[in-house]
Amino acid sequence: MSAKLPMRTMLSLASRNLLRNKERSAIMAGSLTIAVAAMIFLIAMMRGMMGDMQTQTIKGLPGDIQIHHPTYRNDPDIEYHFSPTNEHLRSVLNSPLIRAWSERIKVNAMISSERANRGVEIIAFNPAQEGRDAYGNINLIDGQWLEQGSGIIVGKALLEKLETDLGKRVVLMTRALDGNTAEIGLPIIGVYRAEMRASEESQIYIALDKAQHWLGLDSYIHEIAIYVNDQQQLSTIQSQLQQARPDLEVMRWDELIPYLSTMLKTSDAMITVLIVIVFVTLSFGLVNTLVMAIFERTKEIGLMLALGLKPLQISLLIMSEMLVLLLCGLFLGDIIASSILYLLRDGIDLSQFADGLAMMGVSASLTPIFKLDDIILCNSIVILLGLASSLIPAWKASHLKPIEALYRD
Amino acid sequence: MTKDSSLYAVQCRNLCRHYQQGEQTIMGLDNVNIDIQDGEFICLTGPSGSGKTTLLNHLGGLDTPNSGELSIAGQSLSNLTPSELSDLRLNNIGFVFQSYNLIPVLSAIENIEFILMMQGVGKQRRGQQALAMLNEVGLQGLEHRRPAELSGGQQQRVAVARAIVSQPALVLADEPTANLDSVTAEQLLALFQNLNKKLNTTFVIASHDPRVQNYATRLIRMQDGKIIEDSASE
Amino acid sequence: MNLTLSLAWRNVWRHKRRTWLTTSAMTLCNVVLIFMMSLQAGSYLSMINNTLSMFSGHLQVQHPQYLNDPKPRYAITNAIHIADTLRKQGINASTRGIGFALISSETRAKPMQVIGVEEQFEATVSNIPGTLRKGNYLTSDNPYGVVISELAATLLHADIGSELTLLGSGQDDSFAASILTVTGIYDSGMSDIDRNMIFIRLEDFQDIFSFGKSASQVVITSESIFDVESLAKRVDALIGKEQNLAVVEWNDLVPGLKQAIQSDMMSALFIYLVLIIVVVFSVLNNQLMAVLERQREYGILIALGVRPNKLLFLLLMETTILVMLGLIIGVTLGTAIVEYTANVGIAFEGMEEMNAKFNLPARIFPALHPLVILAGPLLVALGSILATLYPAFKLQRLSPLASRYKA
Repeated sequence: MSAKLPMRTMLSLASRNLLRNKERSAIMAGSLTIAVAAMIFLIAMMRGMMGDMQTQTIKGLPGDIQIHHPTYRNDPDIEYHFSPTNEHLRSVLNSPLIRAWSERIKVNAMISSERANRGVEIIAFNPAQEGRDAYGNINLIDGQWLEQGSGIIVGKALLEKLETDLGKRVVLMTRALDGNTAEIGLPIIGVYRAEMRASEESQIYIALDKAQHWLGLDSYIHEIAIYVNDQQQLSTIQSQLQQARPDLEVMRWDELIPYLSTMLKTSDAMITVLIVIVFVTLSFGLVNTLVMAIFERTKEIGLMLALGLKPLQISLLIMSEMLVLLLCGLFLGDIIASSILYLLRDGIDLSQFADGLAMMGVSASLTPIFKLDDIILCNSIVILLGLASSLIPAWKASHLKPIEALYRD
Repeated sequence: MTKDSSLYAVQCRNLCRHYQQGEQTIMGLDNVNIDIQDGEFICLTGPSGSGKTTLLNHLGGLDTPNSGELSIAGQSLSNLTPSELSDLRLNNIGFVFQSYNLIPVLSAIENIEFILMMQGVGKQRRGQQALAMLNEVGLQGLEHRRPAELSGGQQQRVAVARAIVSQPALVLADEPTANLDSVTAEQLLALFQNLNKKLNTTFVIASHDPRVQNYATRLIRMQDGKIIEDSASE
Repeated sequence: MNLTLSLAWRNVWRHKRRTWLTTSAMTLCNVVLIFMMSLQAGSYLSMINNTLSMFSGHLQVQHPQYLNDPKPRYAITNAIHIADTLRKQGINASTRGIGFALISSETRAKPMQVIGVEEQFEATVSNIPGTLRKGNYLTSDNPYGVVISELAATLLHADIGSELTLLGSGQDDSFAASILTVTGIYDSGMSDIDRNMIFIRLEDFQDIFSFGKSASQVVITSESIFDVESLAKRVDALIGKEQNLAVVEWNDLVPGLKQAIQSDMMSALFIYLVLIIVVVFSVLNNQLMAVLERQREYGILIALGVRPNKLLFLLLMETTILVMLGLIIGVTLGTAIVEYTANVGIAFEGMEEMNAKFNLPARIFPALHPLVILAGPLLVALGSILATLYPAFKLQRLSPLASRYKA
């Protein structure tokens, strides 16, 4: 009959052994705790940043999916328009998979006040038909939202550049569909603030009917922006839309902005690499502790072997010592990281880096994203690496000759 | 588990074991031949360095000879894997080592229970058995002390209790009375004798102590790794 | 060799495996720190250089209002004189006027930024003239010529020789209009520039936009990013007598750049810090074990009359030896890796698009700089030596008897 060593006894022995040298165990567990807490915190911050980047980008595009005339994206000119009146397309757009959609006209124009002029992008949509999504990522701070046929909404930054004010008239000048220069005078009815200063300076909003009439576009538009309910369904919806209108270009946000998805993937890979590096470094310390513990306890291990414990059981005993150490460090680390993230749940103000973050497409308030998956991943990596690093000492311990170990000085 | 006592007869044939210490070769065992029958109470004596401990280690399957044959119940130990040797020690042999006997992180009673646990004895039963054993060796009330909190003699008695608690067929003890006062020593030896008579347990005790010789049914004297006197062969 | 040093050296090697494990942890940490920091320094430097040398320059002389409110009316009246003064001192400087206008070809119109440049000096402060793909750069032989980007050429359906109409407003809010002929097409690769900027001669610009003799900025470039501060002081001194002028440094000209670098650095520094702490803990543990297992020995030494201070010194020396091992091996390996990658560069799939977004080339070349190489390892060393003070403090409290009788 083989020796039995229940898990509970093993863990109890392991804990008692760890307590024999409290300082050493505390230092290793502390080091684990710091590393684990820091890594979980860092992952949550990175996730927050990447998630924000994605949200901002989709809001700024705007839309999870956009539909254009096939030439429009390379040459965003007024002439590359299309007609949205298509039964098949409408039925897909109004399906429950799609949360919202908006038809838009986008043209470049000069905007002139009495004092200055700037190049802007005019975004025109139907204010009666769509919700706030159509505006992209903006907050109205003064005046009112668009109504059919009303005036123009501009960014606060642009308002300052133009040295004009709410209620004053500005002149828009661009080339109409017929090729002639078209001008229109409109009152400023609303002022917005955007997360991105660049868009606050360059995008203005007018009503679709006004723009279509002014530019001679009839019912034509340049873009349909679509928000979906579920990101997982993105490709399905894309192909449904494409089937409805094979003559148009239907693209997902990650196709429209390829660098973003690369960046999200790269940062994922970077995070994993860094976690592994930190824990490999840490595992040297862990192995060291274990090697010393075995060295100090050679006689004891010899005794256990002499009493009939199997080499494998000795290995397991050593590994369970590592496991207990790991679990203590992880437990504390998880608690600390969760508390910090809980305290930061409303976001961290990074306004001192606002311009730099805007350059990366991130807003100035960063909310860490706490994902259970990440914590599980982080903990699993640590446990796996820790146990893997304990294999060699455990193997060595199990191959001690009982008699030599027992009588060693 | 049944213990058919005839299965545990030990046979040593031309056992040789030498150790290398620097340039010197030390003969631990030099052509040792012994037959041990079940139920014998053997006292192994001789000066230090004469090979007593080495012989005990061989009998317990802890050490392997350079040459010669050691068999238990007709089976040669050299054919057994380390794992089979472990099982043999756990189930059939009780050890009392000379110096380092107890697991420091376990209390007195836990050290004894440890063996029973490894043998798969249920929690309640092993607690009772261990406690009874501690009482037998005169350590009542000290069961929750850790080895570091016990005197040398007390530690020795815990080790004896552990060696005999599972009623092994063979008990190998290295100077079990060394740290004991004479009263305790007598009690311990009486306990050994009792077991020997009642359960036919074989005892091989390496000792200088004349008291041990009084209890022994057979006396083996060693010198320089050789058996120079064996009362059984007279 | 000094006896204490040789004792320390032997003590370090009493547990070979332990010493090597701790050294490996330090080495790994040092190599990672060196490589990552060099990589970062390299990418930051090329990000700064690419961004600044393309258009904004390292320094600009501007009207004090212009930075916050870049309107034509905040101009420098004697810009060319200032630029001449600087150029006489051997400083690369060129003057620019900047305005907005609607640019139309026969079929297309786009609002764009019109930059008037001193055509003979522009190339000394900007890489854009060097990215000319077609035609010629601006010359005085070609009045009212314009250089546009490839992107603008596509969007405007224009090519060399095409005529473009410019419509905007001048410095005095007067109407600005002109017809320009495309003489050259550039491709800077930076979408902000390609999308928005067209270049004409400063003389023509002053005429079209009613700037008179004034200009919007004097652009100055420095030999190296590290000389910018001293150069700014020199420029300040040279133009010092002039009222109403501001010397603006690159971090104010392109505020996003420095912040992007800083915020990227923050998250990296955080990881470095964690890595350093982990390694310092390893060293601390190593030394704590050494002290604990040698209590008896220390007791004997103290009993013999060795002062505890001396033991402390011995322990610190052991730590120093340990740390130096990690430092020397780490720095050697790290430098070798950086040296190698600095020559061949680093690239991975998809990086090109991503890097283009941040004005980085397709491959990143780590920067080999002693400060960057040594900063991490020195921090590890310093942290470890400081951490050893804890076991050293325990050592101080040893009494000769207690330590002798402790197992």
